[in-house]
Amino acid sequence: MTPFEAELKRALARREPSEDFSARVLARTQEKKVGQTIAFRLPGRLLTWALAAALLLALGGGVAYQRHERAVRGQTAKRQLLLAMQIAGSKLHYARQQVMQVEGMEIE
Amino acid sequence: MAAILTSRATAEERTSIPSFASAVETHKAMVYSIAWHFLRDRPLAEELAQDVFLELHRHWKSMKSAEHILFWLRRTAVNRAIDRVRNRKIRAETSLEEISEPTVLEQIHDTYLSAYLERMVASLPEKQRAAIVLRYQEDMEPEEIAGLLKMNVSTVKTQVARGLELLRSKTAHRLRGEGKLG
Repeated sequence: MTPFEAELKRALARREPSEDFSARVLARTQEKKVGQTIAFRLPGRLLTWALAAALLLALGGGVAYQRHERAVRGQTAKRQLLLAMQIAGSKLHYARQQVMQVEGMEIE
Repeated sequence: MAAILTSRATAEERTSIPSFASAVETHKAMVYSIAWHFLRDRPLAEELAQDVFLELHRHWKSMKSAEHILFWLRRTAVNRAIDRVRNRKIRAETSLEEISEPTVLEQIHDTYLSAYLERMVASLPEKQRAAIVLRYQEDMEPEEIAGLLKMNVSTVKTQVARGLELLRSKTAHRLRGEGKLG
């Protein structure tokens, strides 16, 4: 090591922080622990319950919605079937009348 | 059997770990000094050093040995200091070129030379400063610095050599006057 490097080493020697440095670090770790306890335990439980309730609501809502959708689709299909039957009936009636008219004319 | 040996070794390693409070006490000067050489502001350096120890506290369970703690602290302190300097745009109050070269006639005491060198180190580029601080504050070998800064050994050697050259050229007049130039 050259004299210059020795001088530099002396200049860069470690220096101490303030006396209460360690105490402040430890105090901050305790604050953090307390903070974590409050942040994770109490609201953690509340959060779990809230999530569970939300999940149940979502599931229940989903099932109810599916049932409602199925009922609506059933009603629509029923209406369409009745309409189709009505149309088919009226067409049949019209055709029957036409046939009868033709037959009547032939007899005369 | 191998598993038993491994678990035993791990347990032995764990027992060699000091308590967190003891680690703070042992390494506070090292972490604070690294922060100081980058920030040159006592409250800022203390705040950064505290943040480093709080981060250590968060990672405490992953610490494997006393050496691991020392390595982790050095690396984290240097990285956080570089980040802080870059993010907050904290530059040395004066650049290396702006610092006047003391002459022989000034007859400055050694304390002032140390302060002068410290100021000049603080004005070096971040990576160069990190290499110089780790080399001369922490007495680390270039290989160790390379591992810590994730650089090639040759790059570390170059950084240290360039840093030294810059510092030496600035103090040349004075050291020559005192017959200390190496």
